[in-house]
Amino acid sequence: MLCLGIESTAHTFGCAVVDEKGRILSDARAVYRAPEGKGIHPREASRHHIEASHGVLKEALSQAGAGMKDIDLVGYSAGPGLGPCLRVGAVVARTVAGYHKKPLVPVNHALGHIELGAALTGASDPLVLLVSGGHTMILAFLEKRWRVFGETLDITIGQLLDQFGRAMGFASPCGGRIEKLASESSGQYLHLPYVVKGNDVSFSGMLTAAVKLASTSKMADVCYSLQETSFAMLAEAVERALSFTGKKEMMIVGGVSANKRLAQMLEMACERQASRFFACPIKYAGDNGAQIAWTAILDYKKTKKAVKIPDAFATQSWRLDTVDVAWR
Amino acid sequence: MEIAVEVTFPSASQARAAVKALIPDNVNLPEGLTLSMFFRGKTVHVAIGSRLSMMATAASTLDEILEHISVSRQVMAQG
Repeated sequence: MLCLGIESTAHTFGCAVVDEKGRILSDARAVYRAPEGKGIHPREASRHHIEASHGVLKEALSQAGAGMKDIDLVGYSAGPGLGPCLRVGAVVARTVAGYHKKPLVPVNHALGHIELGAALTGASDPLVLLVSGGHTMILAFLEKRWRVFGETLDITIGQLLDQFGRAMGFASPCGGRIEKLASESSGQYLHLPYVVKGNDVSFSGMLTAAVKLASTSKMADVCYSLQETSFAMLAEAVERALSFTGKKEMMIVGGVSANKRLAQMLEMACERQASRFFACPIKYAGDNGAQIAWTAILDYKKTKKAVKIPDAFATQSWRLDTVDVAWR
Repeated sequence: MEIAVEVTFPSASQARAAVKALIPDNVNLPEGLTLSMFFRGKTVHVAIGSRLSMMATAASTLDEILEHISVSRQVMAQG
């Protein structure tokens, strides 16, 4: 079985072909880049996707050495995400599935991150930390659903890094630049608000404080303190969730999982809780079509359910903890 | 006010597939805006009705619909 996966929740338009053994036969992407110092504009990003979509699709099929006749299943990111961007992916998916008469499977984007991460790392029943521009969630699987064991109360960790970086005039995504600057700090820690409520985290106060600090302190020290504080909050919440759930595996997925300092802190937490640490390979940490294709395969193989084209929805708000997972 | 647009596809089956692909997103229209979309033969017909005060909203909606028709057409052109 070959599945074409289509991803378009935010800045990435991606198409990939994956087989039922989880082999990624192709992975084509085009990424919208916001102007320096600016954030992602949904309508501008969707225009980018419109321009890029047919070329990315063509590339994905070509890399896989496949034509539409070889594709058995089409999966698409149905949410959560930016409305205009989601609709482009949904139109492509509905067109391809409808015209070529292929079954169509809507996929929750967050679930895609987890399932591809699990497939690539070999984690079987992990506590998951999903960290990206759109998500900051700690999740564990129980009784057919991913349950939330902590999440952000306001902005995500990706938004914290990007909004701070943009305020400093960095180009988005800003995480890499902040990580590099933090590594150049002498280790001078500057106080920032540390807000963990229950097992949830809050970053908006830290963002305001960090931007303010940047006008009077060395940039490297502010970046270092921003990382140390925000990542320690996440590591604390993850460690508590590991202790509570007793999970013997912990996996980090999402774009921010590329940060080495965050991985280092989580590894220490895992060591204390006797859990194995897994990180999604950087190449697939960000948004991509393979995560959608693989999750669609898992879903379709188990349920044999596809949606009819008129019912193929795209929704900006679709919480992961409302999705029934039949295959786990 | 009504804006009507017709887009011709290479075949009736492509026009049909495009309309089917676009219709699910025609939900939650702002109050005062009407939208109809159908195909006849190889041609896709789109009509948007609105009050004059909502002309900008109608234009934005039509803009996105035309972009989606274009995407749909380009995707099918790949065969």
